Amino acid sequence: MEGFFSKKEVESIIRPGGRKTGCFQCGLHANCLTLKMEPYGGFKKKILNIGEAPGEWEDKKGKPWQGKTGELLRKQYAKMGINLFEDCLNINAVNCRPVDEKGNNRTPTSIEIDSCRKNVLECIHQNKPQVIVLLGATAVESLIGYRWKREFGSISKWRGWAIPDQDFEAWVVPTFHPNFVERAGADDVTGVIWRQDLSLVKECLKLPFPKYKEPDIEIIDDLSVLNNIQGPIAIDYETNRLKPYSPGSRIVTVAIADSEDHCFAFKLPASREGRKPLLRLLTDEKIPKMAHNIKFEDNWSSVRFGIEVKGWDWDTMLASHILDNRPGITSLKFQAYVNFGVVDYESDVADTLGEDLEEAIKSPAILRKVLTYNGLDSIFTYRLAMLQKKIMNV
Amino acid sequence: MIVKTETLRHALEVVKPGLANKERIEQTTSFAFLQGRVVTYNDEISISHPVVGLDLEGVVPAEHLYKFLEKVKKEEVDIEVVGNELIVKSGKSKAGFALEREIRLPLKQELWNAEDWHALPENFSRAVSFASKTCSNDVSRPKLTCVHLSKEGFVEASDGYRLLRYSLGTGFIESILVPSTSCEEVVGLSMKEYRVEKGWVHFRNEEGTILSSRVLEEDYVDITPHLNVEGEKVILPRTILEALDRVHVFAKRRRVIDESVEVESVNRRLILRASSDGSWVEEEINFAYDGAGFKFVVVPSLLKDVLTESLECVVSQNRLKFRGEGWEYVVALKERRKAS
Repeated sequence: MEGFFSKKEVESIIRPGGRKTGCFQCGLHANCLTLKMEPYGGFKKKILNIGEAPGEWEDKKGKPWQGKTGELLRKQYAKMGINLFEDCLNINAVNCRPVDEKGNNRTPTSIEIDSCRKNVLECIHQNKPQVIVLLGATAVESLIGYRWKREFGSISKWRGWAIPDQDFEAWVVPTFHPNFVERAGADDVTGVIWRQDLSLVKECLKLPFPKYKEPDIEIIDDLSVLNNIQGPIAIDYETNRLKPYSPGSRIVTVAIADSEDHCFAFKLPASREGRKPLLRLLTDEKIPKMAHNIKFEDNWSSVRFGIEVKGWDWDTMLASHILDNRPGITSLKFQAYVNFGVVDYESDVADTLGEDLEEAIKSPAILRKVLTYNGLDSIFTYRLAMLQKKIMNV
Repeated sequence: MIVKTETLRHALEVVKPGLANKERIEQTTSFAFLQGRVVTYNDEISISHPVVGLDLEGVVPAEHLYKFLEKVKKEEVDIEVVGNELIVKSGKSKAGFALEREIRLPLKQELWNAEDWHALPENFSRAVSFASKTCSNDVSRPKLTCVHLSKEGFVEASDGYRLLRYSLGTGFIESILVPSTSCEEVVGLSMKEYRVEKGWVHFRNEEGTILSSRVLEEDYVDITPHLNVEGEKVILPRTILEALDRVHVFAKRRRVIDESVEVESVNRRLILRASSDGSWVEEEINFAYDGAGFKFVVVPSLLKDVLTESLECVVSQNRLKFRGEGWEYVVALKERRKAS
């Protein structure tokens, strides 16, 4: 039965995954001196720093960044011409001090982060920062974790990006927590990376925020319009299996982006005649072709259509790896978020994709959703390729 | 002090939904007496009700006091505090209940004498009754477990497969998301006024009962695009109402929103189906309709409310819509056959 709303529409920010959380439900307030520590700072440069949680000193003084690690951050910002308490607003992902049985500081649990998220989001909505600096894995989990439906990974995967986050209309800059840098030694490689990451803050202050431009996803039945395409294209297939070899493996829908803002998306016609414009396009070597993981589209085209795709020009997955060889960052969804700030555009169809895809798209509404998703994949591939070519000066 | 038994009994009955099932928070399974009122609080809702002639301050475990008063036949009871006990005398019966003098429940006493309440629109209870039966019981989608009171004057609800909009004409002072569990209590108390504060909404009726409910501080889903259903007009037979009554027996559950009946139109017949643990029912009625068959699932008591006002609906390829005075109700079809 086709329901009314997408998963994203009904997702609750304060009860992620249905967990019932809210301030006070974590119980941390019972043992801290400063209850629900307020955001602190002059905020002159519209920078919001999100830390982990108050430590002993912060709890006693009622303000964030009062201990040794705060001093490290203050000094680093000062070198960049930023005053931690005058130019920034400072809040923690968890705003009551978490302690272990011995009364020492400890890392907040997921439930504590979920319980306090509402305070963090309220702070963002009220103050509208230009740059949000996420200091440490807890801060990253607080601000990105509830929206990211895939494998989350460690802070190493998230640090070092300046993300134009469309949900907050702000640059999001994740990096290590200064406490981690201090423990590793500020002169260690960790300190060097940390300082590099923080330098992005200053760059973001100078840049205008790149607002997401909604693409035109043209859903078509008759493929003859593909005959008019002359320029480069980005191709994306939705299939019912991972590999094309077994009987029943099908390419179900196809999207072809012919610019950064426009694409065609369609259900693959059953007849060879109906597919002709697509096959012509794929075999025209004068038309440069891009894909995210070329070998997937190439292999499926070869096995299912019996053709050799000509004019392969750019693999955005490969280029992502060349630009940054960290593990776990080359997926299109990750790249779409860190480069364009669009998070989770797949949850609407995540349950549909797979072996039952052909059956599911018999519903016109589901077909529309799948084609939209397919179209977005091709658009992001196109946009990513253009960005990578610019960075790599190609 | 002498108190009318019925007055006290009625007050306890009114505030009882505000008791917790288990005492996870101190005193939440007790009646609190303060400033001539009896109050309950269970962290989701709090209910207070005035009791004329009762001058008592303290907290009494609820279960035995309530059960004792249920059995009392005399018109009046004599209540006094002796040491740490509340003594209730009725004729030759006398019962003692542990009394805690310190009230540790987070009660909002300032509400009891507050003046700045907003009037609720005339059809509010009916609208909330309709809407609370349209909510979801799936806590993983909290927004859909709530009734939305909108600034535009709509009372809205949806469980993702059915949705309702009831137009009241007068907007609420802000967008409010009230859990359906609270709404079920609100409906029974014929509330006349409301007040909003951070994290809570309060309702008050003519008797002076105040029900406070936690609210979900989030934006509600936009249901407007889904209200537009175009298709063929179909008039359901009046006999469906009687059949629905019979089938409903098998659909009964503890909460109304857990009940469901399947309605299927096939070959000039309407088939109603329901089941419970270990039993099921199916009833066929004649239906003068030759178009493409359809199938949907609804809460039976809500369908009855809907059909009592209008037997006419619009059926599209995947939706079915009823419309009445001030309300619209849309159901996602489970199945739509091709016209033969």
